[in-house]
Amino acid sequence: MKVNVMSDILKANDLLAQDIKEMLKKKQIVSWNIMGSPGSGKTSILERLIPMLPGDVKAAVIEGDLATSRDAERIAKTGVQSTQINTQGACHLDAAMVRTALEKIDLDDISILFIENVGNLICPAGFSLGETGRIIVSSITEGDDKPEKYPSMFKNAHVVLLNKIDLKSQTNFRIDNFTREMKKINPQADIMQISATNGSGFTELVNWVVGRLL
Amino acid sequence: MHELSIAEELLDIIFKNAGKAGISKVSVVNLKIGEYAGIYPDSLEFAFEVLSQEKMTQGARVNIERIAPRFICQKCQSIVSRDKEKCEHCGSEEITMQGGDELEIVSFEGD
Repeated sequence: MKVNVMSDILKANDLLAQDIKEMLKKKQIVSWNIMGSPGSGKTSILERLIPMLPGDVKAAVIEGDLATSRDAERIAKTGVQSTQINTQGACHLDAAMVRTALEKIDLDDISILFIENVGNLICPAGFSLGETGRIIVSSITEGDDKPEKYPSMFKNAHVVLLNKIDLKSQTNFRIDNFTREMKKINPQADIMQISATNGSGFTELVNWVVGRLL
Repeated sequence: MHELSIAEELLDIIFKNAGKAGISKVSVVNLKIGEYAGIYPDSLEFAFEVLSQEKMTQGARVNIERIAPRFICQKCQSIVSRDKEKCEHCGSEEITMQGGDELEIVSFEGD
């Protein structure tokens, strides 16, 4: 006997993510799933961005990490609510982990939630966390050929942050190569050139984030 | 990388649906997996086999249909080869990618 199923294998995660998404929407919280390679600058970007947000915009951060709580400690210094998910070696966050982490955050106090995923350009792409959208961090030193090499990661990005732009002259990175590949994979995504080290591009980034509050 | 957790989800779906259909032994599982889904088929098959020990899916064959992403010219709607920067038909650079990230169970067979 043949049984037709026609189901996404990750449907269980998607359903849970949908619940999270609706719950956050009800509370008028915009949530961003931040993904990128290890060392691309995800935490450094948050460290610079959060203090630049307008005073009435309260943020919280969920930090996904394999084993340490270093990133959460760095974020805690910015004064916002932060909580750590240790994936104990798992390569990505999933919706169930985020649901548990959300219990530790006072959601009535915030209007924006950043979820920093595990540093990895492959696995996190398949798992929805109930986010409003995806922020992909790709640093100049990683090379300009990443969108076509990791299409599943770049395909659903709302914005790509080209970090470490201050190092561009030290590399053979070509912005036009990167934008051409992005156009093919995901023409809707915004691309912003920033440096978490010297702060360039952050005024635009703050405006981008504030412009998307619910 | 996370083929083991994908295989767990897959088995969950099969067990639930097999119960409803009155199937106690699964012989074939048909999947559709995009080339850009980040899944290595051999690894998924291996995880499936390991997790199926002493279960109704033990010994079941896993058929995987690989789905290539389609690159489509937004000007003339032709299909463009993956390695081309411009549409071979009209020369446009407005090319977008569709599909290739499928991760689906289509059906399974058993008694």
